[in-house]
Amino acid sequence: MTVNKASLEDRYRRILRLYPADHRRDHEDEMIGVLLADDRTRPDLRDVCDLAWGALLIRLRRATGTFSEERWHDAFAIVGIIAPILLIGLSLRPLASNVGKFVFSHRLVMHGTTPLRSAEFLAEEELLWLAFCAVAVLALLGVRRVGTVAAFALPAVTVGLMFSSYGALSWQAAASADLPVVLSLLTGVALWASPPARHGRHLLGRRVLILIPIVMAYDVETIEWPTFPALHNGSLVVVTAATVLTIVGVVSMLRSAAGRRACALLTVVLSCLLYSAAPIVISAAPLRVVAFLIMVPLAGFTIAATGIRLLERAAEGLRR
Amino acid sequence: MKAMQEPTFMILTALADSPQHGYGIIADVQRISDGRLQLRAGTLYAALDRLGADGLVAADHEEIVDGRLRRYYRLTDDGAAALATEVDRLRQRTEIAARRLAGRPQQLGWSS
Repeated sequence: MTVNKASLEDRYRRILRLYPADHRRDHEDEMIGVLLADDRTRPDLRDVCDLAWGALLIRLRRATGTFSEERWHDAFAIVGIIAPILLIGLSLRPLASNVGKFVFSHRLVMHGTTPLRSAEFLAEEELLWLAFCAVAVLALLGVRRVGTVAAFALPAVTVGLMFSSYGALSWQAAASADLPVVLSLLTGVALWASPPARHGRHLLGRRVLILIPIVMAYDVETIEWPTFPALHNGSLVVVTAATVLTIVGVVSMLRSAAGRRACALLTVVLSCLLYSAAPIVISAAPLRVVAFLIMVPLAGFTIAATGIRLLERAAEGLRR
Repeated sequence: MKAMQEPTFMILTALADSPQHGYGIIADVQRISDGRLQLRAGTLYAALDRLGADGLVAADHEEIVDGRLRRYYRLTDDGAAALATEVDRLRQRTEIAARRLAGRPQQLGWSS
């Protein structure tokens, strides 16, 4: 190696210090080989700028994690379809229950009995559920900008109503909006981070059809009496069928990298559901909001995403 | 799926039929693009880092030439699928453009 070549190599190695240590360890020697392949005596300015730009891109990738990957884009696109459908299901349930109770209470009035709930209260609560439905419909129609703003604004309004002593929303109603709030936020994140909704529909394919009976089964099973008392007769069959369909859907999604990441994102909802069902639930309003909107979803997602990453690494190791 | 950027498309094309090392990819991309696209080491390795993380390319084998390491990269199955999708997308566009050009009214001779 000539003195000039050795000096040039030293200069390039100094520039390559801009790169993350792991990248230098894996690629420095081959990059030096590429850079020295041309007959140059000193670093070309365009090469220096290009290396600095490359180092910045790689460092940004490391800093922002893996969310810019195509697989995560696809995962957000899938969640951008599933979350709004679940949101519609969750919002229709109390809406149907309230309408049923309203109709039932008017029948009682006609028979000289006190109504179960006032029409005014029902109307206020129903507005909230209708707003959640509207957010979900906007997301499914692919109205990204308005849908994203609405998906983030509605949870903010709901949380505000929870804390407002003069709020139109009762504490009971606001507390039951916990899960729709989480789903609305997830829908907002998915709309913001993903490609158009049609891409999500394309990725999900026919699997999207599985969601509809699952959501319907959930709604039918949890709508409060006296709306549809007759529907509670086939409980076990409906629950079993919904569970089987859910398992089939999840297993089918786990087969692709994007599907696995979508499942990790949906763990946010699952962890909130499990938290609601847990025997120890924080009842104080501020702590409940922090737990529901930050701690529980973040913990659920972190565990699921880490698990998926470890499994994929193990599978990759086995393939090698 | 987002439209593929030209350097990405060219790198995947360069790796489509056989594994290549870094300098080989740069030279091939220059050849494929008729000299229009000249990749540099920084751009190439940033792209390879991203494509590797996305599972579209993978390291194939290494060799030592003149005391220097050469790592060869290959297109993965996901990479081949992504390239095929992009080729279809581009083909559809060019077919539409060709059809519309064919249907364009002929210019008359006396116009300057």
